[in-house]
Amino acid sequence: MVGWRCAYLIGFVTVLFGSPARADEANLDKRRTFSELSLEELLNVPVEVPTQSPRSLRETPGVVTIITRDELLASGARDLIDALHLVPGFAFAVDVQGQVSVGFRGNWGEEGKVLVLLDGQEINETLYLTITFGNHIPIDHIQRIEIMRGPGSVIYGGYAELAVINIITRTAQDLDGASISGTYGQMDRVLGRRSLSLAAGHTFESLDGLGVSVAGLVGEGRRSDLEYQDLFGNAYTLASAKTDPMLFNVGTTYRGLDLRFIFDRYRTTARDAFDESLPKAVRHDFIGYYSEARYRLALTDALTLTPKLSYKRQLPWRVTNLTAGEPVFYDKTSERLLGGLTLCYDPTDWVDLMLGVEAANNRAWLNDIEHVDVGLQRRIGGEIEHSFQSLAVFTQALINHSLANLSLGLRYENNSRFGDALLPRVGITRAWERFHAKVLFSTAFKAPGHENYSLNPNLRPEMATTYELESGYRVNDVLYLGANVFDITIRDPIIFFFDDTGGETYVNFERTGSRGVEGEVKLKHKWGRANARYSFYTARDKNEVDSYAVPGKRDVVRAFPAHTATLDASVPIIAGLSFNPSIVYLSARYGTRVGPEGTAVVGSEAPITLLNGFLLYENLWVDGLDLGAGVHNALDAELRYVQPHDSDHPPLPGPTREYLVRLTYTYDFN
Amino acid sequence: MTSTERGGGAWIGLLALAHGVTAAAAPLAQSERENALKAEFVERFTQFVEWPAEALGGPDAPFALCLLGTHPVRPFLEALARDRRIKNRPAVFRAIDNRAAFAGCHLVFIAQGQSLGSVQPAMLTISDSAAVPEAHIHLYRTGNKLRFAIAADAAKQCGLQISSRLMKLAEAP
Repeated sequence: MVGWRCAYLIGFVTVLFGSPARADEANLDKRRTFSELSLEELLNVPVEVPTQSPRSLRETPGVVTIITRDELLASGARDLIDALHLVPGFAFAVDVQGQVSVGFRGNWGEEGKVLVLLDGQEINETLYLTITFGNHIPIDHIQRIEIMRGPGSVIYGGYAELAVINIITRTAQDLDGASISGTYGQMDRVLGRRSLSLAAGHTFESLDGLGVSVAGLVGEGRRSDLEYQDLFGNAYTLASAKTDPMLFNVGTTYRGLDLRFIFDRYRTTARDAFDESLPKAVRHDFIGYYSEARYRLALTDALTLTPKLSYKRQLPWRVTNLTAGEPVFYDKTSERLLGGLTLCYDPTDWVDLMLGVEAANNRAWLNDIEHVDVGLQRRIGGEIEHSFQSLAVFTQALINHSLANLSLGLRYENNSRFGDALLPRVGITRAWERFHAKVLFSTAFKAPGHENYSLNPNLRPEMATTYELESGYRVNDVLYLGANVFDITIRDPIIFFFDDTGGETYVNFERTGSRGVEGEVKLKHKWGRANARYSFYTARDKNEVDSYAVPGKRDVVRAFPAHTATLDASVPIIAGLSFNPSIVYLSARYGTRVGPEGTAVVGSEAPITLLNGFLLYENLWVDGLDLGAGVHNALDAELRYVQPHDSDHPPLPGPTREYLVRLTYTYDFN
Repeated sequence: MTSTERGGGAWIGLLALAHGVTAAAAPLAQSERENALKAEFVERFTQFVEWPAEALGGPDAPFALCLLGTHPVRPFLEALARDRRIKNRPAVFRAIDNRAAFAGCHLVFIAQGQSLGSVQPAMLTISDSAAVPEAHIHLYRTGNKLRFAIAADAAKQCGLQISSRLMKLAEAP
């Protein structure tokens, strides 16, 4: 059977939880209880299982976290920030112009280091390589999130240097009906968010299994209701700092053909720019169009060929207001046309092979050439239009042996501007009845993006090396203990900062990175489930980037807490009603603060505890009607996002206590 | 005792404690696993079968899940009725040992060697034994997986509507 391992090699661990036709039998067994499986999935569950199953997350060559739809909805997560706060290693920080993004294991991931996929589409923008968070991707659309906490560059290329976040929305089969969902959140002084989401999907058996899914969301939100003050004494409330998402997502499957189209417009308004704030809040748009056609052709029982063609066009950081927004005026487009071919060969139960090739043309241009050199509307590398091409050949082998499972991967990547790189990856995993262990080694290569190159044509690509060890112990069917250690080194890191003479720029530094440990305890019993997680990093003897450093504290870098601890639970109260509390603790974070007479000093944000509680009532009064209500940040702690580089931006306030209500109605076509 | 020994001992002690605390949910033995799976199939089948409204009664009237004869699936059917709702109503389990006790059963799992004797209206019958020909749904094992076959006409005669989606997943043995 050309099954899970091939599809894993193509698309992360999607196959483990995707179409029942591709679902791995032992993974269905191990990852969830039978009660959570659909009828189609039950048909794939083996009646008898061997003592050692070669096919499980315990043996997947990566440190993986899965967040299911049930967990997302029960937690009352408002956005990906809430969801990822509960995943070891992730933390959030402010970049510039009011944009919040992600760090991982003490490393800033905003510029092309954490890959975010939405139904297989890379939504990292290709001008600055950034990705924005905060009321962006609709939670209600999500079926699950698969997170590789570690590099995925061998398969995914340059943006997956630190981690891969794979967001999978509901398919036609998952939906098989229609749903409408409304969310409303209120902070003490201002609207938190409100949104309307619609989704529908159906598999037309009369049309030979044609599956169609459609989902859309429109919403608005606010970053915070606290006050922000820059170094120049400009102080204002963030009640006008909007985070307004709009997203439209269509998917079609027909036999082996998958088609996808996504329109994403994330609109923020921000008055904070780089160091000095703008006179008034200015609209920033992050617009993306994503399309892909992919066809899985089973040549034989053991051989699958998957060609794909994808095109994306993005208009990120778009500011067209020439009055209040002139200092940050920016109107450019980037596009990427990518063609790929992947061959999977599963000749036996103990070996799986994959070979793939991808070629891409990357292009960017100025939309507005009348205002060249106004604000940030510079030529790209001295040109109105800029392009480069990339070619990648990758291969991976999974070998199962009674002694251990071996994963060997290699990627050759050539960038027409920045040369080539060879990236090996090795994983050794072994699972016994209750215990498992993994040893992982990965490398990554990240070429500068269009704007990185434009600001400094002498930039060198980054190279990263990551070592990971993971072990886990399944005490019994309800209790699991796991821990992992990591060591990340990034050579020639491409660092952004804004200096007070020349504006924004990028430079290579010698080295940065971190090492640390992450642990988790997962308990699932008939009275509910609970998870406790802890993560720690140190940058001692790793970080040589001055812009990241905290004077006098070599163990930490700016913005990211050395210690993070979380606790989340779901407790059924009566049939259909559950209570879902969570606690997030972040230790002290360091970054620029407003010092005496408006000087920039490095200070600390005190440790903070976010306490959340959410009640979810499913099938309230009628089938398909779910009502959720709760509070986020019940203690009204002042969460502020610290800037992870020395660019004179004091901490940006985040959401204060927010009361949330979510009402969903799902109509099942069956 | 060195700190390493103390640390190791503490870790072992913690694991032992954790094991003891949660030992109530030990992994299933193989035969238990098969019957647990069968019970799950029974629950899923109810999602794709429509009973006449008058047969189910009011919205709070319980769904009666019955077992005719002796079968190791019993504890799993009991747990099903105890912990979940079926057709959006509470469920009750009844073990019956003769045909006279059928009254009120909406679903009957028929063990090998048992027989309904006659067609019962609005009652879905399931069996994992080929020797129970009157079962509307026959659960069987092929290789290492469970499959099911459906006698749709017989079910229809009892007033039951079986979803086309369920019919698509059925396979004749």
